Amino acid sequence: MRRFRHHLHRIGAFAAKEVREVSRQPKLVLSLIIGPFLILGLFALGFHPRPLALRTLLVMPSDSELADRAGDLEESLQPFIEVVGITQDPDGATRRLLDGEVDLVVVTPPNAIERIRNGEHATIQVLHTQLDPFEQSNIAIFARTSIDELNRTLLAEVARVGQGRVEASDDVLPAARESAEALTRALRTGDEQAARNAALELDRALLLVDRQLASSAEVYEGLDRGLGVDGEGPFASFSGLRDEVANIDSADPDAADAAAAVEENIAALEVALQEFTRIPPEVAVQPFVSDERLASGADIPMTTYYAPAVMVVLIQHLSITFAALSVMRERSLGTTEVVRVGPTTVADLLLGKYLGYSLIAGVISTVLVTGLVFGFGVPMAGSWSWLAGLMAMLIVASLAFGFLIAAFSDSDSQAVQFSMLALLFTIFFSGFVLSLDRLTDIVKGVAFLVPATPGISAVQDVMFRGQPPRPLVVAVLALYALAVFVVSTLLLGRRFRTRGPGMRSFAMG
Amino acid sequence: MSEGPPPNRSVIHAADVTKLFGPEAGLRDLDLDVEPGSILGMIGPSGAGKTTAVRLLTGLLAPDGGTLTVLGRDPTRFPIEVRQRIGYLPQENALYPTLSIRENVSFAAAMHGLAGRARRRRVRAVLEIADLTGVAHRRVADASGGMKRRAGLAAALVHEPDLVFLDEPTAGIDPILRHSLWTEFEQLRRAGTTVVVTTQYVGEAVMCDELVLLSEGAVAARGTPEQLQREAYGGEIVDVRFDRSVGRHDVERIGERIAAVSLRGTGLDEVEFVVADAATATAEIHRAADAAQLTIVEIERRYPDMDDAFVRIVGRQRRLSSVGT
Repeated sequence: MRRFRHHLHRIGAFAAKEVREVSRQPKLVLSLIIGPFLILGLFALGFHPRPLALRTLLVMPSDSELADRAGDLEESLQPFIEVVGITQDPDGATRRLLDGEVDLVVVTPPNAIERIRNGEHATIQVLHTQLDPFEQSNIAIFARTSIDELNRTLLAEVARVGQGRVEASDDVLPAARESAEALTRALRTGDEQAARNAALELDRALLLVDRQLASSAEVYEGLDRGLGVDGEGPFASFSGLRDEVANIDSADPDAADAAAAVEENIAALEVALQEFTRIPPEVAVQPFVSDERLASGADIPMTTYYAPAVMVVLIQHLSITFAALSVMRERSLGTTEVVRVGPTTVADLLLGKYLGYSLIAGVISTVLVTGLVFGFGVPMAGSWSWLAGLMAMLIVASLAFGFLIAAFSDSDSQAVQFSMLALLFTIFFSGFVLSLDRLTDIVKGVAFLVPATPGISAVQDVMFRGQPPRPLVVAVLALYALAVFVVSTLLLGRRFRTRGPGMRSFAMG
Repeated sequence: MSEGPPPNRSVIHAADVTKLFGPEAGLRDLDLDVEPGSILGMIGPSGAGKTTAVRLLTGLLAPDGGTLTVLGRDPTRFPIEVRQRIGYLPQENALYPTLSIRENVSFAAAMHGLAGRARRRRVRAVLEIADLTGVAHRRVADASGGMKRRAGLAAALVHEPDLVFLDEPTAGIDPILRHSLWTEFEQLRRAGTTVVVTTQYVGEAVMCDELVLLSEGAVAARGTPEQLQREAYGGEIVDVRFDRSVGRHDVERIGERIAAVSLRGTGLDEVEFVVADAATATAEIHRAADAAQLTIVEIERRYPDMDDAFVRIVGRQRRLSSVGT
């Protein structure tokens, strides 16, 4: 019991010593707390959620049909692109691009219509000078989006023409319907002469409808089919109406019913085409749009998205650095030698440091989370207790990683180098910048060598999705903390023990 | 390494202990038997093997050969109970610079399981002993070299160890402070603490009960300060001043009559005799002078400078080594 109490005294003394040492360095504490907020604040202030519009020069050869539609093209390119001029000289445009006067050169194709009519795509060439693959991807997306917009503009024009025809022919279908009505009436009353006249009138009206509205009706029909409407539409039945009218025999007792059916078909087509004219052309050519949002309902702009990841990476890095450098510092001060001669065990030393630095990193984490949520408006959709538990596991695992680094390091500078390598590894592989889904399974497994990898994912789950972290992630983090703690304690213990000749120990350096 | 009780009541027992870091560096054939409540001084120039010896005795290094027990145990396998009884002041100041002197000493006390009122009482007492009470609040980073050394000493003594190892505690500090530190070591000895101290200052050797003189990784001489002085000169020194100049022949005749180990004219009228026993030799010298019709103005036993003794012994050791090679 007495011995156990002595261990507790030693652990407590080490913890208090670490806290005192850090708290005696106000610049360090301030930089650890204020630094991340300054960085995030600067990022939030300086980051453009949407990239700045690229200064673009349009190259339109004289034989380009798009030359007449430069306005449409310019409009379709916005807001990603700001057209700063239109030229017919592709070489001059390329020179200006290379000189950095413009960011993009968009070259419209000559004889576009001829190509399209020949069944070929008309290619709009987009030239740029970006080396950054991320920016190259952005330009590719801008280009595709802009060309899609241009295509939609053209298709909308087609739809608009169709609707215009329907509107211009608004008397044709009612006239046909009235002729059909007259035919029905004549057949019901047995007035054969009137029936013949009405049939002739109806045939002429139907011919006119076919000539004026067929293309518009086809657009409408195509839209229906594209939307997956089952069965034949009104135009499909319309195409056989003239034959039906021709086949009506006044002697047939069902002739009046057949004429009434024709009348109904015309009325249905009339209703359908009226519907068609009410659809805005932009909707007709782009019936579906997407509305992406997080299931939790949280709004996550770019700057907000990175905030928890920055916090996790920062806490990991400072915990690793604190732990690794504190052991190396004990060594360079010579205090390790005194500790080794005395009754302190390596477990006392490490547990004391765990406790001290957990307190320090815990306070910093609390300030950071509070500042992010209540100062920067970062959403906190989940449970605070889950977040606290995750941060505690992250801190313990990171400290263990730091002690592991100390066990493998022979000098302060080597420990710093290892810590920086861990940071670099974290930036590339933890999901901080690139999604883990972009990694192959093997590399994804390697990515879990740093605690930030499960940490970022779990903290984002809690803060953004409002869900408890996935059990696997929690298990990985907990196992990681335990395993690295055991390994680092064993390795440091080996270095603490007395060594024979030629073997390294803290005493011999 | 053999375990089990030491052959006698020695706090430290070493026989043929060797630790080599290469063909040249290290320590060879260290023999020691240190009595409880004594001061053992390890003296030697830089690189002689003093720190290696201390590291072997504290268990920081394992010997390549020989037998070594400290407080009855193999130092490389000290149990916690034995470690509680040991104090250690390393060669470099092993203190935390951002903590105050009091905090450093208190931390050392906590490492030995002291807590609460007992810890505060011991810290206060040891700061008083080290004359640091007035500056105890000062951060180590802002303390002078002497304060740091005394703070390290206070940290090594705060848990009242039975055995304390002090590796060059007086290196780089002024003579007044050195003297005060040695006064503290003597007080420790009086309190029953066994002190093992290494130093480059040969003059400090006279304050030790036993000395081990190290040179080039080997024990050049071992014994009390007086024994080493005798060993350096081959006997005890008696300085004689006559009333007039003396001839070589007269001096040699006196030397023969008193069976002097050696003699040396140190002035026209002064002669240094090295004899087996200064007390009996004094009367013999008087008689021989009378026989030679010489009048002695002054005669006294001289305790030779330890520096001289050290230089003679180390010089002899090096000559023997060079002959051996």
